[in-house]
Amino acid sequence: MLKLDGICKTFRLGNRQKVVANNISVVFPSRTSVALLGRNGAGKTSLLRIVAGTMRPDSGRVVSDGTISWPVGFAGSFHPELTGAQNTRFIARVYGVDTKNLSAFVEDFAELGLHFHQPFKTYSSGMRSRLAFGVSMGIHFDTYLVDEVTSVGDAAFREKSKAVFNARLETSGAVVVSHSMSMIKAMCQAAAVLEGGKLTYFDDVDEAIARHEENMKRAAPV
Amino acid sequence: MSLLESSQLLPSRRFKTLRTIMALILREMSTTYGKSPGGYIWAVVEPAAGVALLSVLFSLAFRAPPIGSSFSLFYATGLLPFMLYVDISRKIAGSLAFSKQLLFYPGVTFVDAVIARFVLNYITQILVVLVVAWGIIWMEDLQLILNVRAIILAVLMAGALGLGVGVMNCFLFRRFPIWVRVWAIMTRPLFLLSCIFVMYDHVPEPFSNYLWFNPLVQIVGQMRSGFTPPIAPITSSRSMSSAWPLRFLSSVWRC
Repeated sequence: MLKLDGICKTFRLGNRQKVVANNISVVFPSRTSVALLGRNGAGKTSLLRIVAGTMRPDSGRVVSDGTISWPVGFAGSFHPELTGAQNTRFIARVYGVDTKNLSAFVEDFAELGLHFHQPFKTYSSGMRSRLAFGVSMGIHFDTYLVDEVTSVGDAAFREKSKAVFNARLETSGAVVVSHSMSMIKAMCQAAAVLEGGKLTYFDDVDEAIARHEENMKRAAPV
Repeated sequence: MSLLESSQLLPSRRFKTLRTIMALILREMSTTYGKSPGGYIWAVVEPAAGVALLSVLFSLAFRAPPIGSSFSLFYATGLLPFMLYVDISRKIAGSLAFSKQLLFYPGVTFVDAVIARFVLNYITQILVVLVVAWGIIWMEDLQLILNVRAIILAVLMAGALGLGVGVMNCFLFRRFPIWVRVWAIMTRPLFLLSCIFVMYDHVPEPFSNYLWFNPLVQIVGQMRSGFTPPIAPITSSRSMSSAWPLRFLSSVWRC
């Protein structure tokens, strides 16, 4: 269960204000993948960061009875001088999972071969994303946050990633931000539409997509 | 994919802060001086060798120290707490920039980043103090009675001041970028105004009254009082210099 309780967040752009969340209260059930829909700049990523706990809301709170991941596939925190293995161990320590197990999982999953023990700066962009995705999948969170996950690697690797992520989603929930409606239909059992600081929750994904597309025809609320 | 179901990949919530701090310390150790052979040992050797070299050079230029018999020890006892303060305050002020990308992980808070940086660099600087002080005493075969409690107090005072100033600047540097320049200019003469080269007691009347408000003068005095024959008897006001860092810390906490 993931509960947002009266979340408010306003950004100041010069002397204008942009409301991202206006008293949002919603409950996401456990083991459910919820899509987060909204136009560009509606504040989907900000809301995801508030859920993750890396951005503080102006008021309100996020309550969860389980663990929440960082946005899946984030590679920005890997230190260029450290090897893939060292970077993996760092995250294992922060999240309190067994360092050996996580390293073994990532080494096997990311298919980096000998590169796993080379500095991260020598990696190609494909290797970087594979490592990042492997670390995200390696830790068993109760809720995964997904922000525009772009497919990485060749077809075989994509199939494997999909299989592993689906296996994870059998026991965990997710909050998914994506502009790909086909991916959302395939992955999510529920959806929420963010528009003008208000979040509307739908148990039916198709209904949410219809509402979202209706919103898109109108001009953006100021 | 047998590992996929391993229960050891479930995140743990126990000792979260402690674990994160340890992870940050290990990370800083393997990234600083990671390229040089010997690795983190350089973090101790580099400043220690620097202080030792300076002390030896100054002892060649001047024959007798204002007090005691060893010139290098006189300088080192002033330089060491000063360098400790400078290093800690700089590292702490830069701690958020240093760990910026890591704050992306919900598991890492900015307090973890500051604490990890303080613990690692404070231990490093204490090692520098030990290596240099012991090295000079051993090489010059000095007969001293050390007041260990006074020395520990000096090291604690320098660390607390460094932490206080560092945390304050960590906030101010981000909030007011111009403060980086102002602070650099303002603290440039600190090296000369901290009674490293002169005795506080030898500073003439009106100036000594101003110097009294420099907490580093107190810390240097406290350090020297730990080396007998007493190099500096009564130039330290403990309440003075311990009040400063707390004042900096509390001003930040109130923001």
